[in-house]
Amino acid sequence: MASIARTLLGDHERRFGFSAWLHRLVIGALFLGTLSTLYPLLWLVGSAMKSPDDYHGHPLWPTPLNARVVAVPHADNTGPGRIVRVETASPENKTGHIYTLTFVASNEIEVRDATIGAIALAEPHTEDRDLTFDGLTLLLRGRFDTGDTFTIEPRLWQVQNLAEAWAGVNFVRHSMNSFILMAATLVLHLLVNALAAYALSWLRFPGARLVGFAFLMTLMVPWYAIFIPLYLTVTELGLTVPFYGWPAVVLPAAFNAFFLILFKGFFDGLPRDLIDAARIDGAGELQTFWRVAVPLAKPIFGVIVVFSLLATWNDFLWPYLVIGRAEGEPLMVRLYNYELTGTATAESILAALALAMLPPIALFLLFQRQIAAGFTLSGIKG
Amino acid sequence: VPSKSTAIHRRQRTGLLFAAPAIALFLVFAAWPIARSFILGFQEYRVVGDSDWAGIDNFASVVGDPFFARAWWNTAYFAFLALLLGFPVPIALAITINEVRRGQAFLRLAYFLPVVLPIVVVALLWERFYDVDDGIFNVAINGIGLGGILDRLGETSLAAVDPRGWINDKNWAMPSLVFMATWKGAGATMLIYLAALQSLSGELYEAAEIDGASVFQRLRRITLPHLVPTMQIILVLQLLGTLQVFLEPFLMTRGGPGDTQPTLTVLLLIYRYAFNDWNLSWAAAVGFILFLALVTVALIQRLLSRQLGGAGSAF
Repeated sequence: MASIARTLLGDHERRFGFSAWLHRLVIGALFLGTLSTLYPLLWLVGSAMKSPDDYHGHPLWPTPLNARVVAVPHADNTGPGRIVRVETASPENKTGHIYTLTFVASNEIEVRDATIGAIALAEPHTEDRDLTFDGLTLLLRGRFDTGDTFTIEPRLWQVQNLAEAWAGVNFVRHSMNSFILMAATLVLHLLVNALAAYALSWLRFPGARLVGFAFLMTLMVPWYAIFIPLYLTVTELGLTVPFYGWPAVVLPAAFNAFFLILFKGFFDGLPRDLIDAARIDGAGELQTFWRVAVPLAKPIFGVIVVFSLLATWNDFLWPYLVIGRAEGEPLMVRLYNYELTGTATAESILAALALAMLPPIALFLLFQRQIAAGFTLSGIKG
Repeated sequence: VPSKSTAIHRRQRTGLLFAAPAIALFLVFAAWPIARSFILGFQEYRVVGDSDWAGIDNFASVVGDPFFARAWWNTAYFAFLALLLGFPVPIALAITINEVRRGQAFLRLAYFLPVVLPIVVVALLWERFYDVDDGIFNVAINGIGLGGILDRLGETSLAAVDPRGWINDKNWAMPSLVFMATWKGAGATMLIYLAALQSLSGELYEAAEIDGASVFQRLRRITLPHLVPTMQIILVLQLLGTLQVFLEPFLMTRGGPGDTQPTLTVLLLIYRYAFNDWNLSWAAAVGFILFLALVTVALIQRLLSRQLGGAGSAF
């Protein structure tokens, strides 16, 4: 029992009386409240997989559509499978989306095993119940005539949207761009800031105090206060030209006063004896840094690695400004432009969003502790 | 064996070498742009050729722009709403979640989740939520039968109460952005308060309980005073952050809807001057004014917190 830290409510109050009742109410509200963050994501995933005519309904269950047979091209075909042309209430293109025919409304004929298909046209006796619905031509098993109506139910998980988004966004290319920027930025973040922090901690050179103070001062200057002159600087240096302008993204990000101060705080806490022992053993400064300081600094490296990756993946405005060529855009910039084109379907945009949030969610679930530590530190230092 | 002084000398040289990349990058991408941000607003910037000295012409021009006052007003309005919602919510979340024994990890996780999502994804997603026909808010409002009441209100002078236009309604666009920003950001602030609560010794509660203090008395006299230093920092950070509101209106409303530009913020104005009009001097002039405002806020906080000293007793 002693292991649980005492908080506002005592054990007795948790269990008995008005306070217990209130406590349970608050807990209930808190758990219910998580729907406010979880449901939107569920909604996104659900909606991302819906067919266009179903998109307006609830994302987690399908809305049946009414359809009407408008033509029977081969009316003389008396076999069990007949090709018919149908029309649905919503005229959107359904190519590739999957529907299930559920029942016939207008005529008396039972068509329980009716199938809808396009590819199936070549093989009328297929038994598949779920087939792709190409345009508005169906293959129906049973007797149908012009004017017959029935209900079709869109299938819930239209993986088709993901494929459309994947191709439309050119996901492979743009997430690869993001990964390259992440890797380059990460390497520089660690190298530049850890080395400088170590120097400021253990290799005090003349002027180190001034340098440390100058670094600290940059924390006081909001990025938005300098992004216009920064933009001029990177364009004048020509960084926006080679490699789609990636250097203009990576280089200004490399020096990061927050990371540097985190590193320095950690290196400052290392015992002097340890550093001296390594030096007496004849290790060079780089070796001491690499063999002694870095392995001990693993926790802080963890925080910074996760933060750096997350920040670069999520970053939008700066790459949007400095990357001139569409092929070089990281995913976030591409997503924004993909939406702006106005040609993409609503579901494919949502599918792209759902895919784009997977890496940060994965990072978050894997490295919760590091992320929590980083955000707590940023509040305390800030 | 090298003498001690040469060893120290070599160590200093190595230190300078280690710090050199950071110093170089700092000079080019931090110090120089900062210095330039002070100069640029006073120049007539030209892409080709030398820039002329412009004195305070740029400042006079931007202040004379009717959108300038509009942008400041909107930014202040955003900051006000964002604090109204975004300041108490994380505190309440942290205090209540801290009381939960079973499932606390899940609650932290769930409330924090939006923080790690990219703003582009969140903005494009919430655009759908705010959709007038299919958005989840309107579906919910109409679903529980509030739609009819709001429809009837729409015919009276209380028409502005109807939120169902969301980001497409000039009155509701800004609150909608605030709502989204709070949803996205509250989890991070909550975590900071939770960390602060963790450092509060349980013995204080124990002693107060023995003295007969009720739960609410303990909340008022122990929990909240303990959080006051954190609250002061967070308040300033949030104020500084909200004055720099940019991505939400940029991604979702572009300053609109309509000609009155109800969501045009200061940074959005800077962006327009710079990248729509390519008038970098005007942009820098507004940026300079914004920078002064941010510094002023930070300084006022410094002065106040020094004056208040042990503000904890205020509770």
